[in-house]
Amino acid sequence: MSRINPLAILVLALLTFALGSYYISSAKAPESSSLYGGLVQASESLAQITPQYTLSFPFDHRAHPEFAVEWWYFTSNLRSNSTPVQRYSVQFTLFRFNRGQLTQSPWSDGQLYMAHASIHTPEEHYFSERFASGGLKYAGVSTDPLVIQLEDWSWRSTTEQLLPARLHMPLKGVDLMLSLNAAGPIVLHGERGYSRKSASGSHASMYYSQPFIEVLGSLTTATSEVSLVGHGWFDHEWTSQVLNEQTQGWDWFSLHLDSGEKLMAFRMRINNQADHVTGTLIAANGETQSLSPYELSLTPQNYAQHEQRKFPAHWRIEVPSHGVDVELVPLKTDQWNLGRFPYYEGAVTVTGSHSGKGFMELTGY
Amino acid sequence: MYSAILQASTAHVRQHPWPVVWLILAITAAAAGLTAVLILNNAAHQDYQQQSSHIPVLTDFEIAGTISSTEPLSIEQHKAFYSTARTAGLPEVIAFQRLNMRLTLNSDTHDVTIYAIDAAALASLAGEAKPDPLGLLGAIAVSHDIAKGLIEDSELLLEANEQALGLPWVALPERQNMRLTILLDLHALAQLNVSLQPSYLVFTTNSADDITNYLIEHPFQFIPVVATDSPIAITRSFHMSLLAMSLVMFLVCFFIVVNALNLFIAGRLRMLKILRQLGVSRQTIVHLLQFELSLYAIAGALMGIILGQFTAYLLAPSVATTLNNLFGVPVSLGELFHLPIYVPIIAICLITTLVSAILPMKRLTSQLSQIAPMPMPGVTSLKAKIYSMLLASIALCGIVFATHLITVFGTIAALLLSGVASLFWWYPALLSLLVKISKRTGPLVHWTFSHSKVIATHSKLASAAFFIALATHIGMTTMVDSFRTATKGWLQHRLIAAHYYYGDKATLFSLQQKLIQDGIRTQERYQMDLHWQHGEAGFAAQTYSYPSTADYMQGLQVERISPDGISEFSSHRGVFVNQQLAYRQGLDLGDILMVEVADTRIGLAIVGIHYDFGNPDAQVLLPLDLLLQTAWTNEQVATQTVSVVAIHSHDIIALQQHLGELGLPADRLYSRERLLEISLAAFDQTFVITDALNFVTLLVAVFSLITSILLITNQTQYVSGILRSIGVTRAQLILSLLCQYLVIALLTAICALPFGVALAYVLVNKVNLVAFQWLFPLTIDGPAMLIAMGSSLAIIIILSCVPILLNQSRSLREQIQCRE
Repeated sequence: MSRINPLAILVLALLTFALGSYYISSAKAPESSSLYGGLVQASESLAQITPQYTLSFPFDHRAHPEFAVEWWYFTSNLRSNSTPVQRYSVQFTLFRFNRGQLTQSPWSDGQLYMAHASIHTPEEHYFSERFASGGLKYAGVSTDPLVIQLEDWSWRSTTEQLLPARLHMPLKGVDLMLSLNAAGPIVLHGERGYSRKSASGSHASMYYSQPFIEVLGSLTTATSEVSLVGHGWFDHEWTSQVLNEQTQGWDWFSLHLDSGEKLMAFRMRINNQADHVTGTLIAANGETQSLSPYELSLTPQNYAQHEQRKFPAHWRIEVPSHGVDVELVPLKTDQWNLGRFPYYEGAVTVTGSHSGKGFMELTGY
Repeated sequence: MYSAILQASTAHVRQHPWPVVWLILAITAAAAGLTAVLILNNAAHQDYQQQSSHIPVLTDFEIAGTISSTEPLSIEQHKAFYSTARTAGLPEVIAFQRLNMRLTLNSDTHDVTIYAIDAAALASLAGEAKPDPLGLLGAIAVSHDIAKGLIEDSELLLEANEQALGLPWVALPERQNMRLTILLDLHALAQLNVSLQPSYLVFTTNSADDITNYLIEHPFQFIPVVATDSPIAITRSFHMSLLAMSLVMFLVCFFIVVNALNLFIAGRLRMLKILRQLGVSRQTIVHLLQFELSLYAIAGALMGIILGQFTAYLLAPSVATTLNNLFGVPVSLGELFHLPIYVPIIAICLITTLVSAILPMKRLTSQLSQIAPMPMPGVTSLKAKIYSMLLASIALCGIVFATHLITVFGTIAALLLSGVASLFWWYPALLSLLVKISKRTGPLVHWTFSHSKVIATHSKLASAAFFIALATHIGMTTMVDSFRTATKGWLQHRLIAAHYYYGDKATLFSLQQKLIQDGIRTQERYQMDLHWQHGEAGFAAQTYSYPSTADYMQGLQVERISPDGISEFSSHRGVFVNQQLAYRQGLDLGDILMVEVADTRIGLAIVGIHYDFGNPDAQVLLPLDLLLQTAWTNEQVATQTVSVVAIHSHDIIALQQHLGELGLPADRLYSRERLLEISLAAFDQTFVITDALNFVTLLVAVFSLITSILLITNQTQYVSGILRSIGVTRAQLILSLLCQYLVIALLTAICALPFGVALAYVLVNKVNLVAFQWLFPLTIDGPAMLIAMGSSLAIIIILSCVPILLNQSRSLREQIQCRE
């Protein structure tokens, strides 16, 4: 029998020690997969939306704190106003979460606000995320004039109406100032604003948009200032019946077609239920046509990978009854917002039966 | 051919394993010391990076300073300021409050330190932090001593001010010295009807100027965290000292490597000459030896890394204690596995071994060329004189002018090297004198000294290592002993009362009321963190009340005091500052410090600079009633309780009775002697690492000298044979050889003694001042120095006996044949 070599044992022990320690030190806790990581409280005890509710403006631009969750969402496809023309995109979102039955105190009214700011230039992506307790005056929505704000990120209207307004969004290394004007009416989705998100009706929200926003503004960095022009899309949505444990995520699209039409489409993915697809086709004059799952088809064309996430990056949207058959290609390859709850939010280029631009949001991947 | 030579080498190693074992052990020792120190330093740095300087519960954040109001404000005014600041683009300003309060946690009442913060705002800053700030919205984070009594996934019920709040709990990351601490959202604390007066933490990224400019129009002031207050800055001296000592040890170990290499090559010489005669080129022989040495270096380094890793695990608790005792910086040293440092350590060992082999290899090639062997590298007496004087001048300049840690370390290096150079200078001269004197005494004694001179010439490197290690040992021991003497004297003066009872403000207040009713004299002391101004410079300092009674003033040990300092202090015109504050801010007697007292800014002159050993913080002493005036309400005084009730011995029975009546724990009562004992035990624990490293270095140096002697003994065995053939007995020879080694070691030790004392002077007057900003008198302890010298000499003599006895047990024929 051959003798055991002490040096071999030593080397083996060292390797085992090193690999074992590396494995232990590199192990990480798994990320939370739930949407908004449990920030949304159990919804049954809170106010529920109903199809009977009649939206009125400017009243409903305000916050609806009696509901579990709410968001004010602005996206904009922009181009530089000088040659060479380059494309930019902007997102500003304010979320409100009802924290449940917490007693009020001078330091919180029981609401939590979260804001996301994202700016894509041809080369860079600036993204930041902020949180604030409600009741501290620097976060929330105030009326007359209408201000949607978290710290120095603000949508500031001149009146109690949504528009005209100025959006100011300073981020580290870049300062965005946009002037926003209405070029069409506010539109209601679903049944007069009651938007069903599942076939069973278990998921729904109050949902209206202002898809006709003319945008002018500037983006300033430490070394340059770029004048910008383009289109914007504003959404306001609230509910206690969307974000529960069954919700896997959604795919949402807002398209500005060159014909002047607008298209909102989304697919809701819910555990143990068929995907629910619905949308709204908006004529250039603001007339709306709700699209049922039988009238609208959203088909992933191919998938991309971002770290551990596989997601559908290219899409085909068809509305055969209106002759719409378009393909969506992301403006940039990487448009993930890597905040506490990562999701995809970015500009797309529309080609096919119609051309145009738009935004795509993919969550739960 | 290569394999044949390697086989021959392997066979030789099997027959003569000791030189190889010795070589590998020396490399192992060098790598182990370096690994352990680098691991501990890295682990400490990782801990520091996770720590904010003064918010132990927010260790994942870096804090630039705090904003506090300069006048009492309503909660609405605070909210308005906060909202305006954050809307104005200062998202790094976050509302915060720290307070101590009595809180009922699941029916048990405790005095708890509470950190309340606007958790939502904090979440905006955090990527990944522990605890997760968002998790604090509707939960509470508790220190481990609270958590261990709780059931997982249960709610913790907080009760205070007749309000109750049940919240799920999470455990805070474990930190030393974090006792009964909770972190929660400001909103949750407000629900307990606590009247909040928040301050505002300023997290990094905004510049201090932006903040200060913003605050101009607001009744708030910004107090930056001074860079030198960060744990990294505070403890830099310790880590550098540790690294310096490990490098000294590494260097000393490589003296052994050089000696072991000489031993190794000398043992192989016969075989290598045969290989040469067989036609193997000198280059091939050298390359193969270098290859073999590389294997030994890697093996030694790997073993050293394992040993160092193990040593680091063993030493971690002591290092953590030292950092806490000496600098007040709590570390856990939990991350002790640092893969990235292993490769450089192996590389360092490999390169150093190969570099150490250059001279022995050169000698070998000349021997293989059958030309006269290269003389050992030497320094002429004149050169040694010049080097010695030059280095001594540098050291002297350093002693006078050095004010930074790097220059102080440079001074120490120059001092030790000047000692080595002077050793090379007067050491041969002294031996020559001894040889001359011994001519008259008899042939054997004369040979003893003559041969000592021969040995000394061949063991210069080893003697230098022994010199450095012994001088360092004497210097460090003298410094630590001086510090201990000073601390003990200071404590004996400072502890006025016979007994002390420690507790929080409420406890002490109720106890004191009882004692006052009995007519017993007590003395309370309170602490606040106040912002002081000297000229343009502002700084935060621990501000303590200090009694102005005669016995307490006598107990205050001062470095300097104004002629009428005590009366100025008693009449509210002066303050005492500790050495730390005086040296950091460049303050002197008579300087005026500004502070806010009862809404008015007043100036107080510095009337004394007092000793405050062991305190890493700046400290100001004020009379109690003046301190009380600085607070807006009495509630704010001593929110960070360090209050002490001092009791004289004859009142102890009454005190114990009152403790029983009030249901207060008796274990917080300490006698003066017990406090002294605890303090000195903490002191001794603080220097365990220094002592251990110091001792190991000395031991390694002794081994270096022994290795050198072993080599020389082997090389000169034939001389013993000749002496025996002319009638010298074995016993006489053994005694003569022992005397020779003793002479060499004794001369080196005598030379090391004054340099050790000089080193102690530098450590006391320079290193202490730069690292801790305190000074104490140097105490020379002659017997301790003689013990250090005597013990190292005894080890040398005892260990020398082994090779001497082994060699002298050989036959006369074998000894004479050793010439070949």
